[in-house]
Order: sequence, then C-alpha cells, then structure tokens
Amino acid sequence: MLGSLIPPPIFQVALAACLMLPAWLVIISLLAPRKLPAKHRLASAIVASPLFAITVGIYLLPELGRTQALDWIEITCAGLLYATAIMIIYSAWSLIGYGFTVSILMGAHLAGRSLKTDELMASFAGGRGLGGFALDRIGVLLRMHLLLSEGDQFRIAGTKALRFARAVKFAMDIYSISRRESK
Amino acid sequence: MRPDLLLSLAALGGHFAVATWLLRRCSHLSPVLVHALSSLAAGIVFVIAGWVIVQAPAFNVWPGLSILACGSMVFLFAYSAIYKSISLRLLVESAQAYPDSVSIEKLHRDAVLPRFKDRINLLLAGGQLEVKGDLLVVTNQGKRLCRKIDGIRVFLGFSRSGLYYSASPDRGGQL
Repeated sequence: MLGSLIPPPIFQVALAACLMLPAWLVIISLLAPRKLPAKHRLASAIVASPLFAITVGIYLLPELGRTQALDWIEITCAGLLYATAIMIIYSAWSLIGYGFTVSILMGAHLAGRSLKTDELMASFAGGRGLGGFALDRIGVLLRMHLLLSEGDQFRIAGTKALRFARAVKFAMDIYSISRRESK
Repeated sequence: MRPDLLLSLAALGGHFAVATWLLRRCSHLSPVLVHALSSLAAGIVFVIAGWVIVQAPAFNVWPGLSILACGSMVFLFAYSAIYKSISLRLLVESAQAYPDSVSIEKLHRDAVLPRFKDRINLLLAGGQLEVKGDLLVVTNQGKRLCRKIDGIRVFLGFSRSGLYYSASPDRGGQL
C-alpha cells in the first residue's frame, strides 16, 4: 500500500524541477544584470529548472529503473505537477512585487513620514495623482484589448470584452464577493 | 480512462463543489483556508478511495495527485482574480456603464477607492499601520516587514512602487 506513495521516475524528475524552481530564481537573480526586468528573471527560472531537471533525468531515469518508453499520461501529469509549482511561485512573486496591500504599506513606508489617506494614495501611485493607480491597472486592460481609451474616458472594447466582463460579474455574484467585502 | 485518473477528477469536482458551497455560505471564513482545507480533504479522500477501489500495485497516487493539485491551483487562481483583482473590478465597472464610456475619476471613486480603504483597514487590523489623529503611521512591525519586502523586491528586480508600468524605462512611467 505504501509503495503507491513512492513517486515513479518521471515524477521524481518533475519534483526535482519543482524544488529547483525557487533555487533557479535565486541564482538567476544573483547572476543577472540589475537592469533585467523581474518578469524576465522569473521566465528564465521557469525555463531553466525543467531543462536542468530533464537533463539530469536523462542520465538518472535508467538508474531509477525506468528504461522503457515513457507513458504520455505520466508525462502530462508530471507536467501538471510542474505547472502547479509555477503557479505557486508566480502567486508569491506577484504578491511581493505587485500586491495591492503590500504596495500600500510600502508606499507609506517609502514616503518617510505620516500621511493622510489621500496623500498615501497619491504617494503610492508614483506621483501620478489620485487616479494614478487606477490608470496603472487600466493599462493592463488596454493592453489586453478589453478596454478602449477615449481621452480620459474608457469604454468596453466590443462584444467579447463585454461577455468576459459579464462572466466575471456572474462569478463574483456566485461567490457572494460583495457580501464578503462588506464584512 | 484509467480509474485512478477518473478518481482524481471526481475528487477535484468534489473539492470544487465543497469549496464553492463553503465560500458562498461561510463568508466569515478566510477564502485561502477554505481552499486549502477543501483541497487537502479531496487529496485524502482520493488516496483512500484509490487504495480501496483501484488497489496496489496498479494504483500510484502521483498522477492523480498532480491533476488534483494543478486543478486546485487553477481554481484558487481564478477565485483570487475575481476576489482581489483591481483590474477586473475596473473592467466590471466599465461594463456596467456600457454602451457609455466611463471617466477615470468614476473608476477611481467606485472601483479603486473602496478597495483601497479595505486594504488600509486590513493593515490597521494587522498592526502594520496605526492612526494618529488623521494621519496613517507605519508601526515598527510594519517597518520591519517593509524592510524585508523591499530587500526581496530589489533582489528580484522589481520596481519599488508596485505599479506595473513604472519599471520599464522605455515607457517613462506612462501607459
């Protein structure tokens, strides 16, 4: 029964790649030039760790007792395991880098003095005024072609964007998000 | 389809149903806690059911657990997006004004400012900020946390602002 808990060779390789992902992120961050954007460092780590694990796996798989052709289902499942690790690392990475609550606290800290709520909002929006933060996040929607810019006005960019927005609203209602927020 | 994979898909469906029900009904529970406990329970049920139904040596937990783990993370990702994403709030707010356009001031007032105040309250409750008169002050606990985060941000190459478009020198901080 306990034998079913031992990962097969392809999963040992996938687990190695998962564990190496944060290590590669640290190594690449130490070695990469300071000007390299954070997202490029993360992308490099995501590519480097499975390549390294597969290279090691090619040598280790016969040693681990797997010499016959690999089952595509096992390869897919091992890939899903690695995708899970990517999502976990990406969550932590984006929370630290772009998290709203974290950024508000950092804005208050970097201002170096006590601030009123409005001043804090303006400070953390990078000197772009009170609407600066909204404008920053709208930039994401403009780039995804979900919104259109008309000067300082914004409009939903067509039927597909409208359907997507309505699906999001539907999901918000399903999970009673507004009730949760009002608590 | 292999029975262990079918079992894992059934466990994933169970996790989805249970977590959805709990998130709807128990709004006082932390969403992350609900996701974590529900996915853990689904994993345990999957392993026990695998041992009973599929039986060793045909059964190995790893392919099924991989499907379950990945599905649970996708579910958590999607939920977090609709729960916390400011960008999606802005999109929904714009959709409610459709076919009219909406001003940046209205988006700021209706979609961003309430969330901003929520997060300030979260920081006050967590002890990272405190109110003195009408001013917000970072506590010593908050300062220690900021120093750690700032170190990690610099190390990983983030800009210090937490804005998406301030780190790219070619854009000059503009959209």
